[in-house]
Amino acid sequence: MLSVLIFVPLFGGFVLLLLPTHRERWLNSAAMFTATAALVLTIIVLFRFTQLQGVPPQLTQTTSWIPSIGANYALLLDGISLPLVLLTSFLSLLAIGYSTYSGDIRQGTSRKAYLFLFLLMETGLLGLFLAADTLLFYVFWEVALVPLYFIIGVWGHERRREAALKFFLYTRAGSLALLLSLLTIYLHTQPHSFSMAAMKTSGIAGATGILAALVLLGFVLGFGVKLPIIPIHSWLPDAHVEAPTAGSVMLAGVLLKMGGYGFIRIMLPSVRGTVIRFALPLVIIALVGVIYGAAVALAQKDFKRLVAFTSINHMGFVLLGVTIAALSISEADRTTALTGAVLQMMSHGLLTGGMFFLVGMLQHRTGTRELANFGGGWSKIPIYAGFLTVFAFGSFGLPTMSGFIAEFQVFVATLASFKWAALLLAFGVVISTALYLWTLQRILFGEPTEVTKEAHDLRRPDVVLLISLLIFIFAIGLFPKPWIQWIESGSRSVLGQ
Amino acid sequence: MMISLWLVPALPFIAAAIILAAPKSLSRMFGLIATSSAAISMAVMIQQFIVVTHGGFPSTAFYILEIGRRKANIGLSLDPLGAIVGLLVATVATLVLAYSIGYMRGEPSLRRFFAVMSVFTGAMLTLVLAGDYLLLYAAWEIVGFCSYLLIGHHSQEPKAASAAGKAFLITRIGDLGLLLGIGLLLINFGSTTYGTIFRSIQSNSMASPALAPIAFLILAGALGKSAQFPLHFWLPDAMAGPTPVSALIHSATMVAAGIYLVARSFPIFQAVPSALATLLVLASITAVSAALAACVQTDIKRVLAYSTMSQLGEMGISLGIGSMLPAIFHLISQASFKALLFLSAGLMTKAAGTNEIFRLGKPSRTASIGFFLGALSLSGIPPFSGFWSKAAMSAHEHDWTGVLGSVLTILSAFYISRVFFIALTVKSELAAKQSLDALSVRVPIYLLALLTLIVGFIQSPIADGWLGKFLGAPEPLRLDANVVAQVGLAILGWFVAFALYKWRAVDLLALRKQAAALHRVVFGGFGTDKLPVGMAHLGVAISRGIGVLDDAVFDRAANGISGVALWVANGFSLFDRTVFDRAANGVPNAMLRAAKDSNWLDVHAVDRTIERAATAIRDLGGRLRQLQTGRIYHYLAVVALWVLITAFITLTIRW
Repeated sequence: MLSVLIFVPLFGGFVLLLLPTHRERWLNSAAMFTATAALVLTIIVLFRFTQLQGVPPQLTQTTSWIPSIGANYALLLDGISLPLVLLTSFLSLLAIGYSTYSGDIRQGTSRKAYLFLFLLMETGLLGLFLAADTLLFYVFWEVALVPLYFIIGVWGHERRREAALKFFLYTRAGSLALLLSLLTIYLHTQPHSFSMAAMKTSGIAGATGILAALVLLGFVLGFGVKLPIIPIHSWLPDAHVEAPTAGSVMLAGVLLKMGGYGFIRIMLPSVRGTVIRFALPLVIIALVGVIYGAAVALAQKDFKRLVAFTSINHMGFVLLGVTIAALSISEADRTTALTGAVLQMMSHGLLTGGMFFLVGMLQHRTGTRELANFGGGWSKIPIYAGFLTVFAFGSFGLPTMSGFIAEFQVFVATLASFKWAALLLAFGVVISTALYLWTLQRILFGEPTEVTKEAHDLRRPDVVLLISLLIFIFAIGLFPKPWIQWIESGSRSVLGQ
Repeated sequence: MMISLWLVPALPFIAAAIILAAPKSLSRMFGLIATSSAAISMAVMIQQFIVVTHGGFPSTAFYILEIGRRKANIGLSLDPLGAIVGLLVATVATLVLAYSIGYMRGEPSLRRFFAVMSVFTGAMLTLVLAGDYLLLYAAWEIVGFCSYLLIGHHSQEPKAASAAGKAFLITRIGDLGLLLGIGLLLINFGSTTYGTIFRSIQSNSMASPALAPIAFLILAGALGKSAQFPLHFWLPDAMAGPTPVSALIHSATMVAAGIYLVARSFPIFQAVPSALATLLVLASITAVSAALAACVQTDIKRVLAYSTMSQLGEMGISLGIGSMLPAIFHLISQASFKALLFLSAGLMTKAAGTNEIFRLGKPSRTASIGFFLGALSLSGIPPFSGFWSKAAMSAHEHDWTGVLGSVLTILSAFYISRVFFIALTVKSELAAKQSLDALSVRVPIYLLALLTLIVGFIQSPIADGWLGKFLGAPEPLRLDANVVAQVGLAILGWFVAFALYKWRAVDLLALRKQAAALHRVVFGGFGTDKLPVGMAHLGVAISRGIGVLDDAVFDRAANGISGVALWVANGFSLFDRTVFDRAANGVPNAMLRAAKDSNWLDVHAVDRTIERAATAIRDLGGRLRQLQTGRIYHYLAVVALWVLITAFITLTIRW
């Protein structure tokens, strides 16, 4: 079942390649059909998951893969991977759907290749979030990264090539660091094994020496580049800004979560003792991310760049949650911190994904992203204005939307461990409130400007897309109970409780 | 009959959904939908209120949220405090919405206006009826969100946007304090439910040192919402919103939520006297400075806004002294007369097209009567509600708070009668030209006037101090010399205003010129106007600086690393060419010689293929080079260097 889910997008992608290139509608329909099928499968998996009786509830599948080196094709779906799998299928469908009508696939570029790359990326991401074997994880990690390089490099905006290269090299360097850490753990596992379950008992897990510290460093670099953390974030604004809208949505919505997921699934179980040793620097990196990300975003003049920087702010909560989950002495706090981090990843995917769609829609209508050019949105494009306002308020944690309950859990766990850190976190939230309010002020208020005068309001497909995101966002925000339950079951098993 | 409590807040939410989904052709119905839902909600609220008066505690549990092993019971539950404030909110909301039907006719964006007003009503009722802190917080933020949207309703006016943003941002600073406080409650009590928390405080299972930060953090939330110093900057500017918004949100209900929150959390505050003392000081500062600022404003809505701040400050003083009942009583009383004042003022400003009191002129009879009665009530003239609630408050004020109370009585009587004498007793050509006289506008004003006339009696000797008994804090009300003196002071305030603005006993313009600096400070609300702007500029400047730094440092650093790597790589390359190349050259030379000796036909055939492949590769290389603009080598060098270093380290340590 899980394998089917992973490879359905790839299969659909290959079918797509066989279709005639000039039949755009066929290509669109095939891609949409595939992405929808993946989403339906995800929902079926979700239902099966809810009916599981085991503690913790998990779906697993294991087949021998490369027996000579102890690598298995092992899959696992638990409370941690479930929300991310759901996020991946859902956002992939929206991203492909948006691309089919938005005009992001420029004339003269291959629609077939574009759609294939998105489907390939979906397979990579689903595989990554479901892998229970580190080698398999690494393979999917690479599969997920490569398509975006081409998506940015070919279908991006003006400075696309430079941005794509920067993106790729940063993540490549991170991947290598990650690989070294994974291999070190592999070599210290007796018998040698890539199994994630075996990581907890590897020689590194209990070690305190420099090697364990280097393994942690490798993970922090490898996953940190993706999350991203300060100071290895400078690929992020360029990649987001230059990517086509659907690419930015996937990048911010799902690809950043590869880092957070890696922290939780791999770093936490394998080198938890070392994470605790270096907890203070990690907490500081996370807090700097929260405050610094918001402050730099506030200074941006380009709307898309601004939204890109807010991701650093939001992902700071994830790193903070992970660190506190490692070090807190109270079991309840550990669970809460980790659950908050996972929920934050999902929530950020939906909210910031939505923000990037909104940026794209505005850019498409006005031909610019410069904040100084906008104004008068409420009077000229009121539907757009309404959606932008709701997403912006959701992004800085308005209750009833998903971001609040996620951040609240991180807040609570932080308060229990480091009161001062919670205060700084709150300060970061104040800055992000200010930056969104100022953005709204510049885009929506005042007299309509030259560019907004000509803009037309959202059309039906835009509205459908945004409302489907909002339904999801409010479903989590208003009824967080099942989500918290599921994720907590996964958190407990990751933390070995 | 079984009517569930959740209907009370749910009905306005449903109305909002209907308004948002309705076709544009129904735009004339939006106000009616909003008003009728609020009215039904009020009817349900009355029914629930009656249940409470008979000793019942209606409640609705939505779900129990388990966070870690801690529990938050998300649900509504009604107690006397929630019942009385909930009834007030539902009543004022219904009247203001009805007024809006007439007032807002012909304005743009009615869908947004009535939808957001309905969401506000639902959220405000949720805030008051919530049975736990987490749901209260959710509603607390939603009302702030609605307030933001409604302040910015006239989105094209330059002031609206900054006023809306300012209001939300400043209250949010307090809100985050409240959020942290709720987090601490959850950690310390394992619950956010009022009952659970208060019971364990009363059974002394919680030491007060742990409660102190909680009390101060909750206080921060209250200060922000109720516009108390030092989080008070936003309220005067919030008047940029349409007048019904000012009446409902920024005078009667939302701004009173801070007072409600402190009253709601009173068991916590009673355990932390220092928090109450802090509130007393901050509320005193606000009450006096705002009352002074109200005395010199020339915009009628800003007079009322500063007046609201001052009145909320008086409630805060009352809470700070440690008496909850008078504060809640004044909250109800203030809501009735302040909403009345705003709605009446709205008729005047709409007719005159300006908010300047010197240009308003004599308005329609409804507005005059409404404003006059509201002003009497605000001044504390019997038998209006303001009289009773101020008497209740002053009964607890001693020493310096007693003096403060007297000063505030004079000041409030003065600033409101000043507006009355300037704006309502002078004939003006501007006024009455296009006065608004629809039934939906007049009826709410008269009903509010009736409310402020009778609502004071709920805590009077005539009703035997019913409110006190209902809230479980009975206290006798004496009509002693103190109360009489308060009325005397109020009359004095009216007299001074009459002397200054009718008799013109003093040349005010000359006076203002002499004390121009002082006037400027008081007029600006003691920095209320300038300070936040300065801070905003500072914040933006700092973040711009960091932004420049980000570009300069991290991008440069990446380039610098690649530069070093390139330099190292060049070194290797040089080494490679000088050492290995020379050594290796021998081999191909030998091979070349061998090839020449072999069959030349064979060479011919193979060569051509290789040549073709080489051309193809060269072409590809050229294309790739274009794609990569040369910088790829920098980055590749970084990667190579990184691999070398890490491999070296790993290898040396492992083996």
